[in-house]
Amino acid sequence: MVGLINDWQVVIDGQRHRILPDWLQQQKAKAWVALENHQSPNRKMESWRYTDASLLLSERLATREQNGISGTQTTDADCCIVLTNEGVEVVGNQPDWLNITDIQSMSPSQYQPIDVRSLPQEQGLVALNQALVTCGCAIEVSSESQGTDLMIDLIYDFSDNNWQFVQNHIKVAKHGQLKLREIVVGGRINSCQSWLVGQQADVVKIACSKLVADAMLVMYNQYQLQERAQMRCMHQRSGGMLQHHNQQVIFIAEYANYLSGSINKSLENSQINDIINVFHDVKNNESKVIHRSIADDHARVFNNAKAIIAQGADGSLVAQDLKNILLSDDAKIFSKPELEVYTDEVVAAHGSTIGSLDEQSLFYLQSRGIPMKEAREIMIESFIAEAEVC
Amino acid sequence: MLNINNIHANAGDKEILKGLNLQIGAGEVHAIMGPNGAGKSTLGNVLAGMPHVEVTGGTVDLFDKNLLSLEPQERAAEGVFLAFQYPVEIPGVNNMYFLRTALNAQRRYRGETEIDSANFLRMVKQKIKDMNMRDDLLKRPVNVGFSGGEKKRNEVFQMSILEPKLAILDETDSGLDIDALKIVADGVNRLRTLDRSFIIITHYQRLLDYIEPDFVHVLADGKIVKSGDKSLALELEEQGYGWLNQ
Repeated sequence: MVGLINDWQVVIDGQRHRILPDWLQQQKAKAWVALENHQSPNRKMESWRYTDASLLLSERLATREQNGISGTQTTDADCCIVLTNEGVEVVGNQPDWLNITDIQSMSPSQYQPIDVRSLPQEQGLVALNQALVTCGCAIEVSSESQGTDLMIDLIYDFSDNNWQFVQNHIKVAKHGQLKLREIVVGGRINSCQSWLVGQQADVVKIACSKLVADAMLVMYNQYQLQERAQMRCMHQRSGGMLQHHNQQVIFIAEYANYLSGSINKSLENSQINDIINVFHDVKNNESKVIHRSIADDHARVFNNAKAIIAQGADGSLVAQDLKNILLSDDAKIFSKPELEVYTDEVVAAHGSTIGSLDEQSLFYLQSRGIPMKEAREIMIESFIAEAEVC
Repeated sequence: MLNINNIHANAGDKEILKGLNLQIGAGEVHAIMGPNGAGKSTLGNVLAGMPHVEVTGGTVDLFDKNLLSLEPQERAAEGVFLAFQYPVEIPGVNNMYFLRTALNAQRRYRGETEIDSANFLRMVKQKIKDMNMRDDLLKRPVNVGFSGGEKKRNEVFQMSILEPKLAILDETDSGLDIDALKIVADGVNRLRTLDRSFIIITHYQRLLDYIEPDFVHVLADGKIVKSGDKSLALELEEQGYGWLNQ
C-alpha cells in the first residue's frame, strides 16, 4: 500500500510541523498498522478496473498549471472555509450558528468514523487517509441555521507536488440548514468526509472539482441521514489526470431523502470514477441518483450507482438514472446501475444508456442556422441539465 | 427563386426521389400532396440538408446558388426553413436562448450585426403577440412537454423570428385539431409576403382551405406526376390518389 504515494518520505517530513491531538495520533497509528493489510488500487478491484491506478504514482509535470483559485478571490460566498497545508482559515462572515474547528484542535466527540461497508478495496484508501491525515476540520451547524440562505464555500487550496490527506467531519443539527459549496481545483488530494445530517435538517451540497490538467483527487464521502433529513448533492467534475469519487449514503432513520446529481465531463486523457452506494437500512426512505457523463478524446469514465435495500426496509423508493455520451471513438465509458433488494415492498427503478449525441436533434439545430460545433455544445448542455438537482 | 432539376435521392438503400423537377417563384405557395411513401418528406429533407438523405443526381439552386453544396446551417442562413413533422425536444434549453442563438448564427453567416438581448426580447414579444400565442412558450425548454399543437405552433413561431425566404412545412397539419389548425394556418398567412415562398407538404386538402396555394402538385413514386391549381386538391380529396393511375 505504501506504493500509492509517489514520495513517501516527503509526505512524512511534510507532516512534522502539524501537531495533532494525542487521541488522533493514536488513531493514525492504528490505521498505519491496518494499512499493511490493504492492497494498492489495481485492476483486480472493481472500482479501479477501468482506471489506470498507476497514475497515482506519477510525477507531476515540471511546468504545472497554476491552481487557479487563491483563497477566496474567485468566490462570491458569504463565508469561506479555506483548507491549506498550514491549517484552516475562515474568511468572510462566520455566522453564530456555524462552528469550525481545525483538525489540530478537534475533540473526539467531533470525530465521526467512516465505516466502509461496500467495496472493501476502498478501505485501503480510507485507511491511508486515516494514517496520514494532517489537514481538515470539523464543521458544526446548529439548529439556529434554520431559515438562512447563506452559502458557505469549502475551498481546498493545495497546489503542492505531494499528496495531501484531508479529513472533514460535518454535523448538521436537528432542523439545521446548510448550503455548502466545495471547490477543488489543483493539487493531489486524498479526502474523506463524514457527514451526520440531523433530524429534519436540510442540506444542499455542491461539489465542484474542475481540475487543472495534472491534478488528482481521491475522495470518499460518508453521509448518514437521520429522520426526515433532506440532502441534495450536486457534483460537477471535469479535467484532472484522475478523479476517484466514492459516496456512501446510509439511512439511519425513516422518511429521509437523498438526491444526487453528477455531471462528469472527461476530456483528453482524464479519468473519472463516480461510485455511489446507498444503504437503505431502514424503511420509508427515498434515494435518487442521476449521473450524466461525457467522455471525449481518450478519456474514461466509470459510473456505478448501487442501492442496497436491507431486509425490513419496506417502503423504500429508489431510482438510478445513468446516461452517458461518447464523443469520440477512443473514449470509454463503463456504466453500472445496481440494485440489491432484500425486502418486498419496494419501488426501485434503474436505467443506464451509453450513446452518441442524437443526430436528429443536431440536424434540428443546424436547420435553424446553428453551426455544428455550437449545436453539439447546446446538445451537451441540454444533456447535463437533467442532472442539475440544485 | 428555387429551381429543382431532375433530383434523385436515396434514404438508406432505397431510391425515394426519382427525377423530381420543380420551379418556385418568389412569393408563391406550392402545395405538395401525394400518397404515403411518395417522397414528400424526403423532398423537404433534401432541401434542408438532412445528412441521412443522399442526393445521387440533379441540382437544386436557390437564387442561383447551388443549395446542395451547403451545410444545413448555411442553407438556413441562405433562407431555407424546414418546419418539422416531428419537432425534436431539447431539454434544458429554453426557446428564447435557442432562437437568439439561431438568429445570431444566421446573422453572423450573412455578415450582419448580431442582435442584442434587449432588442431581441422586444422583437420576440411583439411577434408572439402578432401570432396570438402565449408568451410562456418562450421560457419553456424547446418543445419539452409541448402538446402536438404547441410543437407545430412553435415551428411557425420560429419561422416568424428567422424570417426565411423559403419555408417548407412538412405535414404541419398532422395531429392538429381544427382550432390548432386555424391558428397555425393564420400564423403562416401572416408570414406570406411577396418575397417569401412556401412549400406545403400535406396529405389532406383541409389545410389548403386555410392556406390558399398558388399551385398544387401531386408527388407519386418520387416524381411530380400532376400539377394544377387549388382545384386539383379538391379533386384529389374527392377521388383519392388511385384516380391518377387511370
